[in-house]
Amino acid sequence: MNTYDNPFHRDNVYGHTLSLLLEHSGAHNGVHLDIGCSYGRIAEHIRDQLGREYIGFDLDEQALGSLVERGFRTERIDLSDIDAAERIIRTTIDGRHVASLSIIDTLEHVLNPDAVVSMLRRIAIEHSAPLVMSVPNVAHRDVGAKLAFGKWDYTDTGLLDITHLRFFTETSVRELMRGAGWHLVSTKYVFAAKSDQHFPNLHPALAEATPLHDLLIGLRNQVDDCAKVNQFVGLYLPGPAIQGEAPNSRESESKPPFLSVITRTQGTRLDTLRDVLLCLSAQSSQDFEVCIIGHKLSPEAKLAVERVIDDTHAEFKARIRLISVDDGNRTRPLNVGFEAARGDYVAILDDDDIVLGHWVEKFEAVAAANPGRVLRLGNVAQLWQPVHTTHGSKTVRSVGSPEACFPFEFDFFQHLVENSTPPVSLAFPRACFADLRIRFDESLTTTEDWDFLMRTAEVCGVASDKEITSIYRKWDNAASSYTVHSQDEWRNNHFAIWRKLDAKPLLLDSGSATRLRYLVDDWNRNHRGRVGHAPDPELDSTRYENALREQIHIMLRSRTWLIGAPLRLAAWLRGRRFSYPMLWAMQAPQLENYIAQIRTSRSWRFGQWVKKQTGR
Amino acid sequence: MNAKKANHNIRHLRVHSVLYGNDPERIEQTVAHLNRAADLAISGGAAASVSLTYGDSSPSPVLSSDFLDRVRANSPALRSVDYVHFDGNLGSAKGHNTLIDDAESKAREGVELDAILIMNPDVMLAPDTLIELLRPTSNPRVGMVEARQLPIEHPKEYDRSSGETSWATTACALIPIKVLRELNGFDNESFFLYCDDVDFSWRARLAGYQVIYQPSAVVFHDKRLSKNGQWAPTASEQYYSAEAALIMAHKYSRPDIAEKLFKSFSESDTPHLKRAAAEYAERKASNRLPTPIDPEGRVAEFLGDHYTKHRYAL
Repeated sequence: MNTYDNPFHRDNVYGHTLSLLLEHSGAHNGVHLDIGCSYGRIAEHIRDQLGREYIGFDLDEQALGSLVERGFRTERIDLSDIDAAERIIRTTIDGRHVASLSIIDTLEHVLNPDAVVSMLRRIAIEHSAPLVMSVPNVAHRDVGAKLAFGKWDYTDTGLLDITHLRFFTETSVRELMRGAGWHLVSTKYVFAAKSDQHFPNLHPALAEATPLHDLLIGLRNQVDDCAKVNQFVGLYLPGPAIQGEAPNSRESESKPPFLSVITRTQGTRLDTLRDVLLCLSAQSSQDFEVCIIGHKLSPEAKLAVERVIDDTHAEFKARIRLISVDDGNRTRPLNVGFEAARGDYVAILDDDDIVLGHWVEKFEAVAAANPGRVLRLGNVAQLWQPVHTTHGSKTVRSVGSPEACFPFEFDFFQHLVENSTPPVSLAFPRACFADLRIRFDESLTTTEDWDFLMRTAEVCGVASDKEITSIYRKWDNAASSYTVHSQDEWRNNHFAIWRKLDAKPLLLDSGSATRLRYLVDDWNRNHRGRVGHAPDPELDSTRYENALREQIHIMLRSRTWLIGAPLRLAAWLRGRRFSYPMLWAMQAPQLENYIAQIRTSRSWRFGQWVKKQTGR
Repeated sequence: MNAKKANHNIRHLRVHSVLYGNDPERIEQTVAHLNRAADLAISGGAAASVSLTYGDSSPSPVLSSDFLDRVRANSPALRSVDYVHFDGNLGSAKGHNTLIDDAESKAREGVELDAILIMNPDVMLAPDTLIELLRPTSNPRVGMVEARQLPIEHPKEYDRSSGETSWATTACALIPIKVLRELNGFDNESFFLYCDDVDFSWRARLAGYQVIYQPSAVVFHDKRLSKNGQWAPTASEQYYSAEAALIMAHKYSRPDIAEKLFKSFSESDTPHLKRAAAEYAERKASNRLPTPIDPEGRVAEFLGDHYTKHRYAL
C-alpha cells in the first residue's frame, strides 16, 4: 500500500468529511471536487451517499490511476502552479454545477496554502459550494509535550510527516481560511488521545501516570479544546475575504499600556467610584487603562456611571471603557474585564478601594525586576462608614486607623490554607489569562480572587514588595461582600478551592523544599518527638547558627566542662578570665571557631580524660 | 452632583498654590484636574469664573513660559493662569498672603473676586469638588470650607450633620475673600509652614464664622504610608510642626503647654526638636512671639499632639 492510501472509516478524516457534507450540503446535486485526493478512498461514499459525481485532483499519477481503475474521473494538477491548477479545474467542471469541494490533509504539503484556498474560493463562490478542509494539528499535546523537552520526531506520515511544509494550529487554520474568504460553518475534528507521536511511551511527559504529564496536560487543556485533536476538519462557505488581523489579535494595535485596571461596579456606590477614579487619574504613572465593568446595571444606574466617567478630564476619560455585563455572578465581570484588557498586567480595583499615588508606578518597578511574576504590594485595611452632611452629597468617611492586616510577603503555603491577599494589592500578567487561559471560576460566588491567585501564583510565582500602595476599605454600617454573602456560602467556596488545589499536581517555586522540610521537621519534633537532621550551613544558615549556639551552650553546661573548673580557676588566678560568650552576637564562623577552641582547651581535654578514667 | 444648591454669592474663584521645587509634570496633571472641576462648576451654574495663580518659593523658577503657555492652552475653563516667582522661600503663610495681596490688587483694578481656594500644588481635584466646596457657602456665617483628602483622610473629628469642625487644613480649603480681609490673611509673622491654617481657622471662629469640613468635596493629596501603615512626616515637617506647636500654645494663651513642650523639645535627643526649642527661645528673647489671644479658651483645643479630637490615630 502507498504511504497516503488510507482507508475510509466512519471515525477518521474521510468519515468526518462525509458527515459534514451530508449534514450541510446533502440536498445539492452536481460534482464534488476533491483537491489533493490521493487514492480518494472517500470517492465511493461521495458518489453513493451524496449522489454526486466525484472528480479527484492530485499530482500523484499512481494514486490517480487507482481512482481511474475504480471508475472515477481524475485530473493531474500541481498546486505549486496555482494558475495552471485553476485552469485545469475549471476546464474539468465544464459548465456543470459544483455541489461541494474537499481538500483533505493537503495544505500542509504545499508552500502556498493561502493561494490554494483563495483559488478554491474563486471557483466555489460561483456555485455557492461548501468546502471541507482538513489539516493535522501540530499543537497536539503529544507534539507539545515532547517539544518542551527537545524532541521533534519526523515520521513518514502523520502529525509530523517528513514532507510537511506548513504546520497548523486551530488559530492559524482559522486565520488562513478567514483571510481567503472562507467562513466556518461547522467542525468535526478527529481526536486521538494518543497520536502517532505518542512515543517513547514511557517518556515522563507522555506517560499517563506521571505527575509531569498531569501537570502539562492540566495546563494544556486549560488553553483550548484542541489538545487531543489530530486533524482539524471543518466545513466552510465562500464569502467576502476578511483582510488584516483576526478580531482578537492585538499585534497591530498601538502599544499596549503597562496596566489594565478592572473595576467592577453595580452602580450602587457612585461616591466611592468617584474616589477610585480620582485615585487613578492622580497616579504618578499614567501608563494604564481602566475597564469599568458595569454588572447588571439598570438603565438609570448605567446612565449614572456614564456620567461619573464623563465628568473626568478628557485625557483620562479617553482611557476608560465602560463594559456592561448583564449575566453571571460577581465573578463573571472579572472574566469579561480580563478578556477586554490590553495591558501587560491586569489589576482588580473594586469600586470601593483606595490606591496611593504610586500604586501603578510601584507595580511597574516590581514588574521590571521580576518579569512575568504576579506582582504583590503592601496593603493596609481601614474602617470606613457612610456619611451625609446637610450641605454635601452622600459620601464616606474613615473611622479607623490603617491596619496592616495582611502579611507583606506572599507565602504560597499560608495561602494554601486561606487567602491573605486583598485583590487591590495584586497585578497579574495578562498572559496568564490570554495565553494560559486561566479563568476566574464562575462557579465560585466568593473568594474567586483567591482561586485565581493560587492558579496563577503556582505557574508564575509572586514578586512581593512591602511598600504600602493601597487601602482595603472595610465597611461599618454599609453593605460589602461580607454582608451580602452568608457564612455558609463563604465556607462552601473555601472548601471548593481546597478541593481544586488537591485535584492536580502542585507546582512549587524554588525554595519550597526547604520550607516543606521545616514544616515536616517541626511537626515531627512536636508530635513524634523526633529530632531532625542537622541543618545545612548554606541552606539553613539561621537554623545552623542556632544549632551551634545550642551546642556551645550544652558544652558549657556539661559535666566535662564542669570537671575542668579547677584548671580554669588556676588560669583565672593567672589573669586569664573566662566569661560566658555572647552567642547571640556571633555568626557561624565565630561559633564554629569557638567550638573548636573548647574542644582543644585544657579544661575540656582534662574533663574528657577524667571521665574516661572513671568510666563515666 | 447637585449644582442648584450652590451659593450664588460666591461666583468668582481664584485658586492659590505655593510651589517649592515641584515637578512640572505633576503640576500639569493638577491643572488638568482643576480645569475639569472649573468646567463643571461653571457649566453647572455653581461658579462664574475660576482663575489660577501660582506663587513660587523655589530658588529658581520651576515653571517656564512655554510650560505656562501650554497649560493655558489646555485649560480653557480657567479664566487665567498666572505665575509669580517670589525670589525667596516665603513659606506657606507669607506665600499665600503675598498671593492674596496680588488678588486684592487685581480686584481693585476691576477683576471680580469672591473667594480664594487655597490648595497644595500636588492636590488634584475630583470633577465635582468645586461644586461641593461651594455648597456650604450658602450660609453667610461659613468662613472656611475644607475638602476631604484621598488617599489618607485627615482624622480630625467633625459634626456628621453640619460638617462643622475645629479647624481646616489649607491642603485644599475655600475661603470667602471677605473673611480673608476681615482676618487680615494668615499670620505669617508667627508661622512659616505649619499651623497657619489652624490659627486662621481659630481666628475665624473667634470672629463668629463656622469652619466646615465637606467630606463630599474630594481631592487627591499624594501622601504615603510608612511600612507599619502610619503617616511618616519628614524631618523638616517634624521641625516646622514642633516650632509651630510651641507658638500655637503661646498664642492661644496656654503657657503651661508651651512650657511643657519647650522642656520636652529641649531635652529631646532629636536634633530638629532641639532646634525648634532653640528657635522658640530666641523669638521669646527678641520679643517676636505673637500677643496671646483667646484667653478663655473659646476655640483653642490642645489634645496631646493635636488641635482637636481625632477619630483615630494616624
